[in-house]
Amino acid sequence: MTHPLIQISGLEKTFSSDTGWFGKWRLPGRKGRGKTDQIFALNGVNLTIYQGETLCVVGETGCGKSTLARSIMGLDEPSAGEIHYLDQRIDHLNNRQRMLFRRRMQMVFQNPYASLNPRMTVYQTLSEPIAFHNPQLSRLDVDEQVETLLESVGISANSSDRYPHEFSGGQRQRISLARALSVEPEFIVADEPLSALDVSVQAQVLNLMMDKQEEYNLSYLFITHDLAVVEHFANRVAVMYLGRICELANTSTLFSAPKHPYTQALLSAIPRLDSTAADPIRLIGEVPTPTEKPIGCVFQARCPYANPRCYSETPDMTLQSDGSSVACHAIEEGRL
Amino acid sequence: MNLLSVEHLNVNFHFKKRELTALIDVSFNLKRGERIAIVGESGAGKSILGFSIVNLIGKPGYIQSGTIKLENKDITKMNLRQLQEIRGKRIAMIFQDPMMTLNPVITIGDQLVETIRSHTKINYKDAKNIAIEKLRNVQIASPERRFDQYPHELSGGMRQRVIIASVLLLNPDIIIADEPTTALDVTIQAEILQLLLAICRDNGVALILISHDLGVVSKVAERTLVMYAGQIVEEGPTLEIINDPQHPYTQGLLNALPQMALPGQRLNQIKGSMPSLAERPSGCAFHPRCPYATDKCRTQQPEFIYSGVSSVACFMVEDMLSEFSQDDEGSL
Amino acid sequence: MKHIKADLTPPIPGSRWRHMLSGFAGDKLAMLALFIFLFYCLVALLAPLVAPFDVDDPAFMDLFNAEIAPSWISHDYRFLLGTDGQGRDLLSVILYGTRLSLTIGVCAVILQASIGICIGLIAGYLGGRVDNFLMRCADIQLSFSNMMVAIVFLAVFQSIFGVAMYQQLAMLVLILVIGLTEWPLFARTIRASVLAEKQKEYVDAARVMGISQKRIMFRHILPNTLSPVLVIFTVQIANAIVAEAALSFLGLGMPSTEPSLGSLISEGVSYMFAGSWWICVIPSITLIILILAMNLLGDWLRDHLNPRAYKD
Repeated sequence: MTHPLIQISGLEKTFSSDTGWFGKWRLPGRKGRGKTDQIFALNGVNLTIYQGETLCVVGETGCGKSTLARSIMGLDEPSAGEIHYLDQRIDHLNNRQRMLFRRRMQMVFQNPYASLNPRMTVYQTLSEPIAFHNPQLSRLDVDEQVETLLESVGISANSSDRYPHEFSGGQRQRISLARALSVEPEFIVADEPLSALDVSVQAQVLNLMMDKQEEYNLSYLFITHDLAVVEHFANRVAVMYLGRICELANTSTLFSAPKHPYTQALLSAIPRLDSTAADPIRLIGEVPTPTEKPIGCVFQARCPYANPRCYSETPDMTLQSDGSSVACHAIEEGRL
Repeated sequence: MNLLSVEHLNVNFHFKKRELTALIDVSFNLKRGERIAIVGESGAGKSILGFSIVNLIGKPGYIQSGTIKLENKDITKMNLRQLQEIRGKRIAMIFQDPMMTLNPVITIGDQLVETIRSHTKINYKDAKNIAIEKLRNVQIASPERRFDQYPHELSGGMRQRVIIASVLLLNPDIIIADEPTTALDVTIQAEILQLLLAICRDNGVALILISHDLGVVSKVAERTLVMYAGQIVEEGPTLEIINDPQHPYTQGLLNALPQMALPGQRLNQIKGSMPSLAERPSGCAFHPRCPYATDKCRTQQPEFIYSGVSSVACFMVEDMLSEFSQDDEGSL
Repeated sequence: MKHIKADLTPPIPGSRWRHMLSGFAGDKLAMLALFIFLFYCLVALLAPLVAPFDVDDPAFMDLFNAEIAPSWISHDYRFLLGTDGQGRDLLSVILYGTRLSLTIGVCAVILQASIGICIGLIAGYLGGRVDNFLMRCADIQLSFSNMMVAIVFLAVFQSIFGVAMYQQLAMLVLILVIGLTEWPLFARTIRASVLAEKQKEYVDAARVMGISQKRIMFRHILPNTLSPVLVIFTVQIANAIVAEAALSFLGLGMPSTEPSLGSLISEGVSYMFAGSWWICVIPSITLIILILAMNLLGDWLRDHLNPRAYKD
């Protein structure tokens, strides 16, 4: 539990739309607008994931949580910063060098309707990675492994010749999980795996994920916007806003005593079943689009406690007395 | 008197080879200024019910039988002109995706003005003033500037506010909101819900909220209808339903919520998933997933019965009630 | 309303082929088109067996029998559709001509499709500069009229290697010329679908598994982009046959010793005003029916392979 599995430091990712030969040639009049083509998705993320834990990343649309997941998996190459897996640096690896790590880290995707190839049967989907990573296995062995995998996620093995569109959303998400488990990884990134599912089916998939964690001692990086799931499932929670982490704490600490003004607003906004809950804290304005590199605190524009320092100086993550880390000048200065 | 009363509504979908039933014997009433919620998972038929109320169900779907009465006038028997009169003016709809209603190539101001002027004879300037006033009502900052913007220049939450403003222009009696906050972030969702609630309260508008999220429903609706496989399975006051659910499906739905289990423990899942219309089970549609199912549930359709808390269609509740009353008689 | 309807559509069991076949049965026009196309294919394949005369037999060409009208006019029952200006039985010549035209059409389109699919896949999947370069090549190719390229190429070929050499290699050269000029159509269509498919999560899932780019392109993305290709494929066969016919008509196609439908029509035109209309008209009708059937088939495929109509 205390052994760090993945260490991320100073991770930045900037998307830019200039790719082609002609992309950079602009008419003189438009020169000034060239800047707007950049999106600053991650602006310096530091994060450590420990072995066997479930770390949830929460945040609203556009906060960069999916980009974080894709950067760790090597689907997007980070613009700056480092990612270490155990002791090896894994960003900037080419495909062949990355191969060693493909078996150890896997990903479950958000949309169960798009994450399975519609033209491949369940058998083909699952047998491909098994055969690919274990070329020594005979066909019969592969068949057997596919069968065990399917049964272990609660799908009957005799439906392995069916196509994805013949399954329901929950079943597809189980198959996705089975595919991720097929290479026996030790770390799984799950990018909003429940958001497309109904409540009763969500519970099934979440239970399955917890069972598998126990069975294989998996570590999860779980990305979601659903705080109820976080409260139930996570060991630790990282709250992201506009490409930075603003609070990192144990789940119970975060939910009982949220510190960052954004975390407080986020928690108060969950529609709870009990009617005694207080009215949500209203934030000013909406999440800005990250077309410019933020200066100072990322939350400045919507924060009720912002002062001039928040507009000029980036707050660092500081450790609090209860073990959580918060990046906020107001807390540092004791104003909050 | 009821503002809207739906009685024994059956909606079918007609395909080349077979006939599928989407709604079976749906009945409910809505009083003036009342806020009700229709809750269910995807495929339960809640959106179809929403569309049927304004008779907007498109081919191959059609209303097979039943009546939808808006103050004693039957919507199912109206012609197109009468329907158009009702849609928007008496019953307005808000969808999950605001872009379904907003035209992407016209400024939001012009869209609002057009709506006003198509129903009342008024010049552009006055209409513009009304529109800006309404935009201010839905808490849009600097409405004069927003007036000249196109829908794509606004964020999702802002667009949904514009939709609410446009709905308010014609002072409808009923607003049907079909998953109005599903596409929005939590903080924005909370604001939109508060706004919707305030508007219904202030203007005495009745609200039919269609949602899959019991948390959202509990914040807004006074009464809740739970739907499963095209039928209403439970109906009652929202708080009662959440605190003391009677139907096994409602119980399962509430128990499956992560906050109902201790952190780190397994969740109480309902086995299986919602059947598609084509493979609707016999008897009580929930019986294959129900932990209490008996042979009776597999063959017969349960009737609605008032349990003292809510109205439920379930044999188990029925049996318990009759046992209860027999015990009462015995003791007397 | 669209999303509701989509949810209600009962799931179709089995693969898309079964789905297509069940659609075929319901559409009489499509059935007819398919039947005609299959009939042409069959006749083309079996031409040596069904033709009343052997075209390779030196006695086949007999100037004494030249320009005999079809049997229902001339009552000469040796030649069902009459004979051409060189005394060849028109039926036999048409059968062999169809065989040639279809072969050239299908082979040329297979060539077009293979080049186009590869280029489209690579351009769409790799993107960036590769994409830019390949698509500008396609633009350049499209900016020439195909017919012009073919005419120049064939004329140059004939003048360099001589007519005798050309006549030997005519079929191969025609396939190459028609095949190489129209690939951008396939490349563009494939590229557009690849760009859409590339965004989908199953591609990311395959990348995360460490599967090679080549395998992702051909095994994962390609099968999902083939629906529009099938439509273009049928229509392009029709176009290729027409192109071949046009080239032959201009005297740049198949030699008259080995006539395709196009060269038959071209030859027949000169007899038109001499009153022997059948030498030109009967091959023309044969060609028109074939092209019509192919286009109907393509239309039907377009309607039924519409990604929105067929839900995964």
